[in-house]
Amino acid sequence: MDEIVRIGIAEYAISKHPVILRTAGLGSCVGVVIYDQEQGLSSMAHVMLPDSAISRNRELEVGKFADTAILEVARQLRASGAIRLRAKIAGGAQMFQFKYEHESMRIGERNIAAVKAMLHQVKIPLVAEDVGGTNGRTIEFHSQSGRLVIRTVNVGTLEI
Amino acid sequence: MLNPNERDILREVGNIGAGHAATALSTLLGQPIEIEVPSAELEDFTTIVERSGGAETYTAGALLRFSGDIQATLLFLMPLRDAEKLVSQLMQTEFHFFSESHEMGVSAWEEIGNILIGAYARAISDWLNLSLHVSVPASAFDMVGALLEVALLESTTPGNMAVYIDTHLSSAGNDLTGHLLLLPEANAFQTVFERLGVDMNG
Repeated sequence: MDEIVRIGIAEYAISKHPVILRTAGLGSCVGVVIYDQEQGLSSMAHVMLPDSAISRNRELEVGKFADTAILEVARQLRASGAIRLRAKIAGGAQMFQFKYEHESMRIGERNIAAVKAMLHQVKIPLVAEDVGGTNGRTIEFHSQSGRLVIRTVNVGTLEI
Repeated sequence: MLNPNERDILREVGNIGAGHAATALSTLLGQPIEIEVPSAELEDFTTIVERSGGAETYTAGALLRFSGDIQATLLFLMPLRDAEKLVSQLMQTEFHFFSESHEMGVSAWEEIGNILIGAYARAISDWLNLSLHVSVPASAFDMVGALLEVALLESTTPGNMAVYIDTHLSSAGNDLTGHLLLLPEANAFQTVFERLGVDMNG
């Protein structure tokens, strides 16, 4: 069994050897997996918010925002010799359904849009996704096979 | 994070809220219910997730938003099984979420959440001497980590802190555990913690 690396909220991890990357309880956050299977490089970020413009200490919060996290992960992977990078994403749910919709309540949708825009900007194709909806997700990326396993408590397990 | 004195004040506020809540819930349930506050603390997000049993703990959540002098979110969390027991008591029949009677149970849960959170909200607004209005409740039943993320929407707050009030309910032989979280939005944090006597810059 490969080593399991746990990624907390607003954190990211990069691995150069076979590994299982795991993050638990994604709600409105988005889990972003970027990997180069042939080169044995993999990464996962647990992105919380779309845009780092609101951050007062951006250097300390790289993993928290879609823009900074994806930019940094892509840079590190490419510096480590990545050639063909691909991305898989999951998350961006809306956990509470409100009668009156508050702008910030749509944070899940905004996170998804920001992640996709950023992947496009750094030229990494998105090959699979399981996003939106109203369910929390725990995700596990198996770097050797490239499988992303998505577990929910209400609608079972899915693999993309 | 808080000194013992501040923790006592917070716990006292929690106790007052619990008192209001117990009275109102006893009436709703038609049975006496006791509510205790074993602890109250200012905690960071990671600790709150741990204290709630870990990110994947199956949890019922009820949420109300404050508006008025400050913007804040109040979130009441209870392990799913405990929430089912409480709803069963109200419905006077064995209840499970995602069963045929799910919708009815959700309404009952939201009503319980509304009463509980409303009671704490009154205690908190008295304590902070703020005029506050509460929204209608929303609910969700999922992994606690996912539920808590709703709290982080405006989270430019230092260290993603929230006021965390442990709540212990006992009624009709059931011992139930809940957690109440007060999550001020970024611009409200200063107000709340000045009243708490916490120096956010220190």
